[in-house]
Amino acid sequence: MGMDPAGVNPNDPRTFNRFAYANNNPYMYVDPDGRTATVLGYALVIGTVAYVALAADPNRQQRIDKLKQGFDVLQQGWKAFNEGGDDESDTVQEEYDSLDAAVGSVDSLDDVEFEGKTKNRGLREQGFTEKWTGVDSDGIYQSGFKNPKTGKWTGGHESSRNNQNK
Amino acid sequence: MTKIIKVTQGFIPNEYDSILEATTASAQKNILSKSKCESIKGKTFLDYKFNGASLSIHLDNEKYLLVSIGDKAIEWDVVSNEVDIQGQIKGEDVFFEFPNGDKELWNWERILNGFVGKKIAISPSDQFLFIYALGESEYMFDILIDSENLKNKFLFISES
Repeated sequence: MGMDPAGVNPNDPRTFNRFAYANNNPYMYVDPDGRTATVLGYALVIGTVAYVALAADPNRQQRIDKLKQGFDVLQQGWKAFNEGGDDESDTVQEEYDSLDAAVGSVDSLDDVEFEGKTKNRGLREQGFTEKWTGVDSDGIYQSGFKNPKTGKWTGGHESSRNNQNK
Repeated sequence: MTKIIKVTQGFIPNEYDSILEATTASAQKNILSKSKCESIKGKTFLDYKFNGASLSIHLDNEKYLLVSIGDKAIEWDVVSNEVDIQGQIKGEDVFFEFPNGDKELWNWERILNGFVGKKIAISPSDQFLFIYALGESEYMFDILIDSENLKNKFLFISES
């Protein structure tokens, strides 16, 4: 408990006492950071609406996954920011208009086709004997390796076919 | 003199349920390094230095592509200053013998020499790094470990 760091609002006499919590009305207000009291009902309504909207959304798992991806990107960005570095390449140079544009740059792949047996012996040893390539709606080719016995994939990357088709 | 080294793959590949998940995972991991790929795309491979575990490729825009052995993945970077590669090796007949008995010549010199003078591009996955020249086969960097001396690791390049 300490003095309110937000200061006094001359139009709101309740803020004159800078040691009061939540305008002395914790039933009506919440003040999670000790700066400004907020109507408790608003927070409950916003949270409830968001929960109901997500629960009713048929694509909720995709949205949850997108939120997780976004959180991962934020974590990576924060980590890079904290680690710093002298190399100019440490600077984030890619900018996107939205979170979807940043993490969703790989669109659904259409026309995924078998390319052939992989020539990499290490991958073959691990069961990933097949190489497949797909093209997304932006015309970007993506390749990956498949283990036909388990149905699992690894090594997904932008394909050299991009290069060959220019 | 021909040498045969028994090897296993240096790490277990990450597994995904679909090719889309695999490519998305790679895109997410490399989102911060996408600009590095772009900075050398289409640049000419001038020469290289290699010591068996680390590789430095000199490009015609005075950038250097560094490729080395990481813990569970290939490590790579694009830098502006040349990095000294200690203990460069010469091409010799080293065959890697895989657990199933298959043997493959460690053909790094022929492969890397084949890139000299060509415009290249790279593409990372979440663990591997792929490199290719315009209109030619795609090659990938991988890690192999000496089965009889686990401290010995090899940066292996082969056609993907």
